[in-house]
Amino acid sequence: MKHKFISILLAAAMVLSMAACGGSPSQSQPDHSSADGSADTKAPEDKLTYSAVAVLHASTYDLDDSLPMQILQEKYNIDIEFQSLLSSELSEKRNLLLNSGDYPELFIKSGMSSSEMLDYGSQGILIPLEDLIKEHMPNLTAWLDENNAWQWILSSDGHVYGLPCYELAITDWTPYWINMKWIEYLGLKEPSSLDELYEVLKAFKEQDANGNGDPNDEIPLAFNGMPTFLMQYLGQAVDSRTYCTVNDGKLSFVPVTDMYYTYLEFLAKLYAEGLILDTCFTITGEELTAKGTENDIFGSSASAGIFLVVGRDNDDDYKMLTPFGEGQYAIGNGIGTGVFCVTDKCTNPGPVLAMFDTFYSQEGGILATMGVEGETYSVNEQGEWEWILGGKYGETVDEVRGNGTIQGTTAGPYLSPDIWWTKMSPNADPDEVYLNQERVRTAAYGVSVLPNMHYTEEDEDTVAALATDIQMYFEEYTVEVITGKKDLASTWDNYVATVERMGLSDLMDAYQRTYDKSIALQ
Amino acid sequence: MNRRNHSDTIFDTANVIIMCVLLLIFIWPLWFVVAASFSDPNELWMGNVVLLPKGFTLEAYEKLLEYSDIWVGYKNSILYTAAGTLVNLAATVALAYPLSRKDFMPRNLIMMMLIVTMYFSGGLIPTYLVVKNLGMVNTFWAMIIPGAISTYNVIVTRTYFSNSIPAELHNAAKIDGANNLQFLWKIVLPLSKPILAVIGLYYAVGHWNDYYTALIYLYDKKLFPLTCFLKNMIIDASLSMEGSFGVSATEMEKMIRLSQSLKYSTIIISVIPLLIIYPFIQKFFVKGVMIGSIKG
Amino acid sequence: MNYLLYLLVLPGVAYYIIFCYVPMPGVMMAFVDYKSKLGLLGSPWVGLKHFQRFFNSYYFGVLIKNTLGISIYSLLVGFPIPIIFALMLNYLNIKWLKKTVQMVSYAPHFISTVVICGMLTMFLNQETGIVNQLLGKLGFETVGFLAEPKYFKSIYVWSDVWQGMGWSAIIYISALAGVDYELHEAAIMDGATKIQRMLHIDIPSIKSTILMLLILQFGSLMSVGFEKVYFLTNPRNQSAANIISTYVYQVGMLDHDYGFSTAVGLFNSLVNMILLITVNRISRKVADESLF
Repeated sequence: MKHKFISILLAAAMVLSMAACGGSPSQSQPDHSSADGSADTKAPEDKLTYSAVAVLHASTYDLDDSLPMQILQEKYNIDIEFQSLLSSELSEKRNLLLNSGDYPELFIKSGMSSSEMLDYGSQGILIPLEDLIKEHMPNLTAWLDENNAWQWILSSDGHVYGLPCYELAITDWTPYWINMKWIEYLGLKEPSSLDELYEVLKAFKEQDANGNGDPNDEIPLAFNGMPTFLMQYLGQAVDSRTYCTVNDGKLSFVPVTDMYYTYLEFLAKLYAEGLILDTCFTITGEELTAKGTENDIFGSSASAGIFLVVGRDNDDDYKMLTPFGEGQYAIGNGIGTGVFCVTDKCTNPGPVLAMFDTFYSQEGGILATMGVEGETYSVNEQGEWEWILGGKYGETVDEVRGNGTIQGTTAGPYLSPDIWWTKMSPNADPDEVYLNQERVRTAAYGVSVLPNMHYTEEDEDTVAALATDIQMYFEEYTVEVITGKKDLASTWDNYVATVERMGLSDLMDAYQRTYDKSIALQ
Repeated sequence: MNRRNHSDTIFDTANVIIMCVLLLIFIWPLWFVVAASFSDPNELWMGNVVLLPKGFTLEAYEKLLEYSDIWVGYKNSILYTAAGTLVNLAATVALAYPLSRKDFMPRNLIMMMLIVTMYFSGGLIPTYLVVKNLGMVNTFWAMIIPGAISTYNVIVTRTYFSNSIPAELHNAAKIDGANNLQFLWKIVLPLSKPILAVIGLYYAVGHWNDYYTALIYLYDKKLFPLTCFLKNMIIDASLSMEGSFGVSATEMEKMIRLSQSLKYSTIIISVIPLLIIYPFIQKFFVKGVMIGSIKG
Repeated sequence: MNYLLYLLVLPGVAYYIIFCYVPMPGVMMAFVDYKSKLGLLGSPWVGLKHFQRFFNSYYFGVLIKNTLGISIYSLLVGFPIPIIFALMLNYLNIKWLKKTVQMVSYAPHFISTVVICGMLTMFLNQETGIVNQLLGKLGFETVGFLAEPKYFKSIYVWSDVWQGMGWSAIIYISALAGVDYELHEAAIMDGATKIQRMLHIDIPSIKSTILMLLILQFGSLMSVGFEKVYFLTNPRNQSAANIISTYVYQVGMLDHDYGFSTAVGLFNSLVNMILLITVNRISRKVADESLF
């Protein structure tokens, strides 16, 4: 009798193990690194193999299957065995792999952050690349030298632990778009100062700017979340990560300065006069889009691309508000870091680095981001390019991009070619072309506020603790002032005092220290 | 007689009314999810969808079914749930039954041991290393063994055994010459159908909805359960918004729209199997299971 | 003869040792500046540094207050409701209604948090949300539910009740199914009303189930889930929505320090465990029911 129970358990176990054999366990990263070919190669020559981890684009596209990677691997006779990571688990998986010792030789398009690179690099888990770049990657070296870009890929200990990705340098904050159709309809001109902006927004509200006879349906300023986009129009460029401005080498924390007082005063006035969407702090992006696409009621809004808020039909009514002056607009540098890292398990990185160097030239950049002419994209007589749809790479733009390029989801090891930005055919996507035009136009006014900030680990800890707390506090205060719950004039001093009490000076010391050190490295 | 009838009638009527109200409160939002999965996302946010879908579209389902990997995910989920639940039940009962016996000496010690693990855990990395050293990473077993026992469920099962299996029953069986295993198999388990059904349901649902275990231990797309794909599709969009690298505006827009429409259809798709199974389980929650087992 | 029992527990105990106790030293990460190359033992000891970072935060008090506020509210409201629901369902005479309500009541459990939050945001919207539309029709003013910190806890808890009551009731329904019907027959003979039967037969019969779940719930008071709060937070209700788990997440975004999150997790666990042991002891003294 007792045997029956145990025998059933055993039977169950057998069934389960047979099921398991059906899905045979694949090994975690194989540890090949030498020149000799792996067991599955049939090529007579030696084939190099590497193990790598890469993000799975759009939940479906393996980097390995993409056209550029297939072309390269064939040409260089290198086989990279990819393990794909879902984008939702990127950072957890990365850290898990690196901390448990279970990591592959290469991390490609895995979203590695600079603090991780410093951490793992200093432990020797990631190897320094600067000499290898100079030795095996002439394209990249040339580009880095010409653009003085080495500083941007250095970690705090002076080493390079990850290759860069370069795309267009655009605004550091969210772009702010204003409805030019309404402006022209009312006979106004584009505002060039905060006061003029106020007048325009007021006119939107009072003068039936959308011309439909209803003077009450216009919303001059509609956004969701925090109105940080306006930080670009306060007279000085502000860095979006630290909220600092730089004057003569000295950093100051904007949320406790007069600049911020002006900012709050301006927004509070707008809100009190009903010029701002009153549910701006509570509605979601989707709701904002629903409102904006239904009707022509937004006078201005903030978004990465205005067609995301008002739909593709109306997006060219808007333009990015031109910065009020030179040097007041903060832009990024267009460089993404950590897109390609090499671990200490890789004993022969030279060849694979040389292979990826292909993507760091103009032609290589085209291969990386557009694919192959005649297969994934075509060029017309004006030199403009567009995607080839309906061919063997896919029916829609996403499919073609997913199958034919290595772009998407995260930054990758390539230089975005000029042609991508400047010569995209309106046939491909007129709204994208328009967006890029606007981006380029406003970026011309821009400056980069901070150099690549090389935090020591100690400073990073300090910053993480204080910056989170302080940001929560000044955001709370901002909302209270704008909605009128607190009166700005009478509570400002108390607010500044509280921020200082929370440890602002320690935070600023860390920032200043890091800034001085980083500027010197330039 | 009158008093009892009167009081009970009021109770019954109130009960029915309350249950009907509850029925509405539950059904309407559920119906909403179904309607939403067929609606245009913009209409949703404008508040136009109340009973019927607005801007009727099959887009959400089309998009979902375009991902051929979904079917692999479905198959995997079913496999993990079925196999996993079997293992769970066997392991949990094997542990819970002895703990419910007052004459089992180490019971409190073992119980303490279990409870400590509910609160103190080594964390992700050490656990991952253990699984890796056992050779289970990126295999089917990783979805079954590391999560084989849930302390919470052991406690629930043990409590049930303690209450529903009286000592007299055990004594009677002992007199008849049965040993512990026979008693467990022939008497305890049949009497425990309700709790087995509940625990089985808890474990099964846990497996079905689990994406975290797969996240950590699996790399091979062919092994992912359904939830990984579904969750990923929805999160992909928010990621594209944050980092604008390598993401063209069209891609951004597509992803956002996709995640909106997918949100509801993914629920429907992943819930259907569970809704189908539940009525079978419901049979176990029947009154009077214990009838006749104890006399005097 | 009990050796068979020892045999039965063996696999289970082995499981706990392998998967829970072997990795447990990882808890030390809370006291150490973990460097994977050096391993846990080789990494520099920093004592209570991570904990201090947490305790010294300007928001420490707020975080604890918000977290406990939500979980206690949840306990007071969310604990009794599934029990009452199960009891009442048990006495429902109309079979089709009974089956339907039960099945429909547990379905919300399967809706993912992301969608629940999306639905809540939609329904509570001041202009277009259905709740405010109803209020308007009834002649009341519309309310910005998500804009006011004071509503946050209620929104969180009551939506949890809606989502969880049917699912939580399952265990009570199952326990009630094991109640000997003869007891009810005897009571009916004596002229007891349904309510009397509930109070004197049903509840005492499932007393141990109730107490067990109550003790367990006390043991998770510090652990308010992350996802739901995260998706319901906006700049206006933030002051009420700042809880421990969301804070740890935010800090973790700037600084991928495992030490900090492990330390906070350890602190939570310690408090939870103390609560569990205390409540367990009380339960043993007062009701003679305990987990251990």
